Amino acid sequence: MNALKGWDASEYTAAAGTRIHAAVLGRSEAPVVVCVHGLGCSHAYFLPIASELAEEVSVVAPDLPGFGRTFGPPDALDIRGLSLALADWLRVSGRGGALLLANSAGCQVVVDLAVHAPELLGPVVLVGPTVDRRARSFRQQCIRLLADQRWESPSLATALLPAWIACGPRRFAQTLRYMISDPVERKLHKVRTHTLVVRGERDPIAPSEWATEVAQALPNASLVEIRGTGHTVNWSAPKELAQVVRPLLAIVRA
Amino acid sequence: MKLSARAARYLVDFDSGVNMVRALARFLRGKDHRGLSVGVGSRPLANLVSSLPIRARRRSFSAQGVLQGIPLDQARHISADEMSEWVVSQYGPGPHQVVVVGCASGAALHLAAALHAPFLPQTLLVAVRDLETHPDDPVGAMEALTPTTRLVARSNPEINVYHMHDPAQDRPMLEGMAYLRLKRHRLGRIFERFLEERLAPGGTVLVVACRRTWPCHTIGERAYFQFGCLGGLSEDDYHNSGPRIADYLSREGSPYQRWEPPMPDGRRPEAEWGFDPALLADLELVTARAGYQLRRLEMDEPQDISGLVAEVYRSWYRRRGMSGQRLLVESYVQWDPLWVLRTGAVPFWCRFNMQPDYQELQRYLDSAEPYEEIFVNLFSQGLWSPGVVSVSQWRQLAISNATVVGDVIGVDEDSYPIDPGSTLRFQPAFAAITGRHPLPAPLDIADLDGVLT
Repeated sequence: MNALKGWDASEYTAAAGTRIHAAVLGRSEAPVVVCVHGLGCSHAYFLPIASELAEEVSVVAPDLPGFGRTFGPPDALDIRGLSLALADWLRVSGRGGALLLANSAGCQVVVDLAVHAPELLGPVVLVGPTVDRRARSFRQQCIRLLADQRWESPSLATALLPAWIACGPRRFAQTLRYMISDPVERKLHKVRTHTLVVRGERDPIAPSEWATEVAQALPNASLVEIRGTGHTVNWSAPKELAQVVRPLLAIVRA
Repeated sequence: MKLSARAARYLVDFDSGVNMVRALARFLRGKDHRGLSVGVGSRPLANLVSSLPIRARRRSFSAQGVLQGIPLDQARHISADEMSEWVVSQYGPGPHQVVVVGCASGAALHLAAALHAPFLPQTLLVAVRDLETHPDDPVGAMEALTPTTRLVARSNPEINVYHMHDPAQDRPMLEGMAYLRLKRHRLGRIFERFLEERLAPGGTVLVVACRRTWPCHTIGERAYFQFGCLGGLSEDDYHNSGPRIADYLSREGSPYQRWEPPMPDGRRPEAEWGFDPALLADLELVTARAGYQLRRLEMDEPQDISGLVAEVYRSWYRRRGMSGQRLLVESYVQWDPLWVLRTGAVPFWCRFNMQPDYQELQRYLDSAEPYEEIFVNLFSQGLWSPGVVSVSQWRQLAISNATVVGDVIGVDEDSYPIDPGSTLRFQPAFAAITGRHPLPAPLDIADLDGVLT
């Protein structure tokens, strides 16, 4: 495998029946921030936020099975399958209790983690949580995804295109199906650690009403909106995101 | 082949678990269970099939066995997860207030229908084609199938595999196929996801658990051989053949005078009807996590709850201002929840058409408030198995206990029990019962507090 551009290191951990790849950036002795990617994505689109936080923490962005550089089973894993894989990786790599920063479908994976392995959860940052329960259909999600493109930086394609190719259309569609049917709103009360819900002001995938509902259903959460951005705040507004994440780092340090 | 189509092909159309799923899924969509949900309900067609000479009728059962079985070399594709995927694909998106999980039972089917609940079976039947072994040579059949049974168990860690071999009731089918029953000891991701996604918040998982066990011979890790099954013969008849079996084998023209099955090394949940309590651990975990209620309906024998469900229906009808004076006795998988409700009939399910089923119905009728009308329908298994009760006896039982009219319906007396038209005839016979009632709103699970634990 090639060295990763912009990241310090690339590590592989035997976990969840595969070798899970993770990109690492930052100070090795510092508190850990684990980034959990969304549908069809990989570690790559966390580089801007990782660079912002690298001075203070160690940022680790694993590729879930079937995505990025991690091989997965022939059939896509459902949300529970992905969260079980994440749990296994957190245990094996000794990163349980790290701050979990998730984007989009990654938020569903982190919320599901709280159902079966709450002990692995540190503070949680949910960036653009999916899936809005009022838009639980393939068609609505596709329309929203297209509508979001207007608010995303064209450079995001450089990070996402290789990830989409690695994931493939079949796994993408299967995972989207699992995402849509996942009753995430019923599991939110299981996330009992400090949680920050972040949404881009222009994000059509996680509209304000839904993000508010998510924040209200979480036992210990607050909601922050980042102005002028779309769904992928970690790519398009890393500075602003780093700013709102920093107060939570004190909890990890403690 | 598309995965769900492959699962449907591998499953057996006359299996009790499959028929519960099909009947309930169709009922929840407002449809009946005509032709076991895979064929038609047609009296003329049934009469045509039943009019064939006896040898042709008998052979048609064996031919069904051959057709239902999958070639041995495809056994490596048998996937319990694909079967589960097929099960959940039969039902709508929900949300459901109740989901029934566990072992098959016609009484549980009617209870699930009353609650508008889907059913997730613990056990499903897969048949593999086996034309070589003789039905009366259990050791030969076991040895021929052992590599396959072990293979299926090995490739499906969440199930126990039972090679079930019953030359008394399944004889025509055994001429063409071998029975592999896949019994879940883990719930599995697909059923777990079904509960998490389609059961309403605060909903109830109702576990139907039959405690019936049977002597088994272990042939590998999670792989067992069960000789015989619940029916007209006792466990002892199967394992220590006596004159009754010698007589039966001679009538069937078998070269064997007795059965010599492998020595059982323990008792396990009965392959078709028994509930493996190992599944409870996962159910308790899932219901606790999701905040669901877990209720149980337990029984010693599969038909033990038939009387109880009949009384639930009777009192439910009466609360709706109906008389509850009509009893419809169904046997094996010739059930139809839609027509039971449409005709306002109280359902009483018999596991088969054997002496123990006859006695069970007799006991119920002796204890229950008399019915004005009693209609009995009987399944045809393709031979005069030891213990089969004749149509005239069933009719006599219905007549002597009904205060107005008692009869056997949907049965061709000349061809019974070697009547391949039976599955085509039962639904039109139910539909011919006079009187129609609107379909009721679902029963509330709270109404069953007295009967559930």
